[in-house]
Amino acid sequence: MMLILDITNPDLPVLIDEFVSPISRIVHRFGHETRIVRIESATIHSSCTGIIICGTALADSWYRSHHLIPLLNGWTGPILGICAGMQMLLSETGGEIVPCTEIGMTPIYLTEMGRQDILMNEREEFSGYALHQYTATLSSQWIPLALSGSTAQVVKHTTHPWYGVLFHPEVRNEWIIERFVALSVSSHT
Amino acid sequence: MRIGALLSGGKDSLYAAWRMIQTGHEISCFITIQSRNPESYMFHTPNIGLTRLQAEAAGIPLVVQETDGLEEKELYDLMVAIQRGARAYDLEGIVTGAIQSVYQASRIERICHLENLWCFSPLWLCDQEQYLSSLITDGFEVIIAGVFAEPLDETWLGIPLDLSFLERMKKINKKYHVSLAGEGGEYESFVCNAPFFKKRITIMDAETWFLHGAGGYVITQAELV
Repeated sequence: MMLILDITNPDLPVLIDEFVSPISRIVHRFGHETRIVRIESATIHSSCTGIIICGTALADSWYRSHHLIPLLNGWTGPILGICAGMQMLLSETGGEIVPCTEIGMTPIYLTEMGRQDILMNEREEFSGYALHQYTATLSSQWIPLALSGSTAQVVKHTTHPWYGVLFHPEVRNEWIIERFVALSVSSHT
Repeated sequence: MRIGALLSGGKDSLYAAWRMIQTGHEISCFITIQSRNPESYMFHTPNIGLTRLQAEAAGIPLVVQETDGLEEKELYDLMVAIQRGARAYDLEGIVTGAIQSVYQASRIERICHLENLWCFSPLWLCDQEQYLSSLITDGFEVIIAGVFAEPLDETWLGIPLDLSFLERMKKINKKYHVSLAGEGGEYESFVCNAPFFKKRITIMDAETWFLHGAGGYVITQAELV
């Protein structure tokens, strides 16, 4: 079961339609069960194979005053943080959230490490749909797998199978979610 | 939140507005771009003049902005329309009916960002079959106002978007990969009634045309009942 973590502003439940439900549907389409939970009430069950932290609207900054770490304490399984989800992962592991506005399709190319990584290999160059006002700097715990200019678009943790994707893979790059689901299933069995 | 809903006259913009109402927001105004270019990159054109009746049916004010409909220039006109709506109705956000179009969504997102407004697209990447089913069961009355892809022909013009339509579209989707919701411009729609309308639109007269695989159902006379 994939845990789908909702970090959208709880006063705006309509954001679930746009940023959370599409991720859950994609995971389902790849044959995997999901459980959607809000960050404030999330717990990790033994049946959890991986965690996807969804993004949110460009104007939503609610997630910036909340934390993932209490939930993730002790979890070393796969995580995919999308956009704001990636920012939370990075900022709570030594990075800092900094302004970086990108809206629309952006060209992305792999780093040398990206070419060797199971999530990204054989994809050399592609475009990703960006929708964010911020990114986060990378502490020494993270390495960039893909860039656009000098902006890290895909990152991986040096110890755990934790990934961050700054753009929205649910738009035109479902293959990233498909690979993440496969990686989660294989690491659980 | 006080929301301005971009209104094309078609099902997606009105369903998106309905979704905002369902989740506790107020549609303070509709915003319509009237394009003089039938090939507009951004804006739906069939029966666009009748958004005035839809706004009246809902009891919601309408902001209309005309555009020549030239690529990118029409974005400036959209920005002006959103600015007008935001100032007149003290808007905090905009809702769009975008489903999959990155071209449309990213341009509206940019304008909202510049104007310090929230941007909502509740139909974004939706399950299209589930969406059309909800549209029908929630009480929307929708007709097909244009067809632009095979095998859709003149026999589809003016028919209601009902369960029978959905079943036919599912078969076509399987065979031809035509989008169920017409997101690729395969068909266009017009909404005669919605759950938040106080009156419904009755079509008194319409003209159809069909040429080289494309056709339209142009409403020439309609009234509120």
